[in-house]
Amino acid sequence: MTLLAAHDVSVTYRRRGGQPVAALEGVSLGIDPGEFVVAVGASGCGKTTLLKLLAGFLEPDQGAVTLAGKALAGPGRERGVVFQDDALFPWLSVRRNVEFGPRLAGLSAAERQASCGRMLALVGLAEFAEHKIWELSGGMRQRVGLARALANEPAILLMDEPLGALDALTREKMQELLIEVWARTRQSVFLITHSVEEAVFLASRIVVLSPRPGRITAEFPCRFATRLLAGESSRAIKSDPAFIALREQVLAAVLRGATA
Amino acid sequence: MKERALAAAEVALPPLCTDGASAATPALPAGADPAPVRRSRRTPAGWLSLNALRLATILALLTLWWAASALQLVPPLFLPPPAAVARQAATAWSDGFVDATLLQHILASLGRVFAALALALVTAIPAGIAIGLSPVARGILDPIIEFLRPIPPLAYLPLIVIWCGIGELTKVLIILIAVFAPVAIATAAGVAAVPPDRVDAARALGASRAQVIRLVILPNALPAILTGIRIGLGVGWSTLVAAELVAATRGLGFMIQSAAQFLRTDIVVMGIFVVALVAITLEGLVRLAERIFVPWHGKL
Ligand SMILES: Nc1ncnc2c1ncn2[C@@H]1O[C@H](COP(=O)(O)OP(=O)(O)O)[C@@H](O)[C@H]1O
Ligand SMILES: [Mg+2]
Repeated sequence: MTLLAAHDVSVTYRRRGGQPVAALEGVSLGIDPGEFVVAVGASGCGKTTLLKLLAGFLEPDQGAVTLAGKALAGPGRERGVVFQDDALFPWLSVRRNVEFGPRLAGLSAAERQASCGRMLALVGLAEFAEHKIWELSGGMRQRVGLARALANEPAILLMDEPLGALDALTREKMQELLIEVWARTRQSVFLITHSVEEAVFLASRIVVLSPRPGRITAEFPCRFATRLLAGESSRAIKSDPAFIALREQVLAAVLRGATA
Repeated sequence: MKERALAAAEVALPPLCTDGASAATPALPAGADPAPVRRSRRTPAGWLSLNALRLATILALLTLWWAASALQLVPPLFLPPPAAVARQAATAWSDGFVDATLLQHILASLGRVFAALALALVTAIPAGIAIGLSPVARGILDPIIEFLRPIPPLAYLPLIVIWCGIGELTKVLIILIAVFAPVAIATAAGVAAVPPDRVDAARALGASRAQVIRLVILPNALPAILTGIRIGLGVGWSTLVAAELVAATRGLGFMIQSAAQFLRTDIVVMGIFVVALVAITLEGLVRLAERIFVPWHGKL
């Protein structure tokens, strides 16, 4: 059964004095349990808007968003969100950031400590629990953001260009980490990126969005992540002709949408 | 941006050089790791020359003052010599002036300022939060604040005296009115400036609206609130001394005013120095509080 789905949703931003912007028009997308869905598209094509709908931060002007078949009512703990600019709380330590959700859920100190330890170990930051947020690099902050979302044990992770601000090396390491986390937690993932290569590498399904109005113009099934889990190296996968062929195909779809 | 650059320079410095005192002494052995941001004011060399310049200015002014009075360029009634002022400070400290020691005058003034500040914290901060969160509250409170803000406090002092007499209440009220606007405005700005992603992050983690306000919006506005308190304390202090000139039986403003009536210029000047020193100390205390309570400010 579909876990999280958008049914024929449209969003139009109306600013006072400005032209209304049709950010999304008639978009339908279902995410099944265990899927890793990646949305690609040029910037400004409504990717963030779609994620905000799925997260419940925004309501569609038309259409509906459902969680396990029921209409959404705002954000919820079963959907973990990771933001492009980490959105951490700098007045809290790394540990307190990760424990934010469990604390609100009323977990005991011992339970919180255990889950925080697990999550930080998962993202490779076990020794940094007591650090201040501003003492961390961009990549480490992004991993804290991921640990914070995972600590609530959500059924699905929603990530808005989580790796957009990272350098190439850190970015590739984070891609591998995301695949590992996905395999280990068996959570569904919806991830946004404007990097076609990243999409092909991570996804079990790619959806291509076209700009103004944002529409889904193509979908591609994909399975390179499983090869990483089987032990193949990222470099080998990304230089495989099959990988390159799909990458070009997806890129063509993105460009077609962008110029249409 | 500028704040960010400064903060980055601060982080990059070796710990020995983060305060002026240790940087003034040659803390870095030759060949020690050079601070990466050489041009910053915060580099040891920058600190040294800046503080040297500050000290030189103060010494030059003191010398000028001393010379002018020693050479009798200005009669002592108009400009008492530095030594006389220092002597008056010592006398006022030990023997007192107009029925109270210097310390009692200072404490009387400080008591009023802190009473007003305490009242401002429990009124202006909630008002600022309301303005920042709700357009309705903004509509109601904005005109009141915008009306009060530009009026010099001494202009409404007579009215408050008519309403409340010349007791403590009047002075505390005057300061409260002066402190209220800066604290409320800064709080409202801090609340409104919360990054939407941080609010969304908390909501997605399961926070209710009240929890978002308490756990995200308030801590996020804390730097702005402290800035408002710093500005408010400055305004409040100068207002208070002015108010005490008019209606008080104790306090620094009253001390200066009494001395003026006896043509005791040395005590007037001494009082001015004490007022300035207290103001500088208050400002330093709030900056210390900023470093303790919002260490992240300007770093993210
Ligand atoms: N709050 C807003 N108000 C007005 N227009 C907006 C707002 N948010 C996004 N838009 C516009 O909607 C379109 C889609 O934005 P967005 O979903 O952020 O795209 P993406 O994440 O793919 O870059 C853009 O043209 C953008 O300018
Ligand atoms: Mg976006």
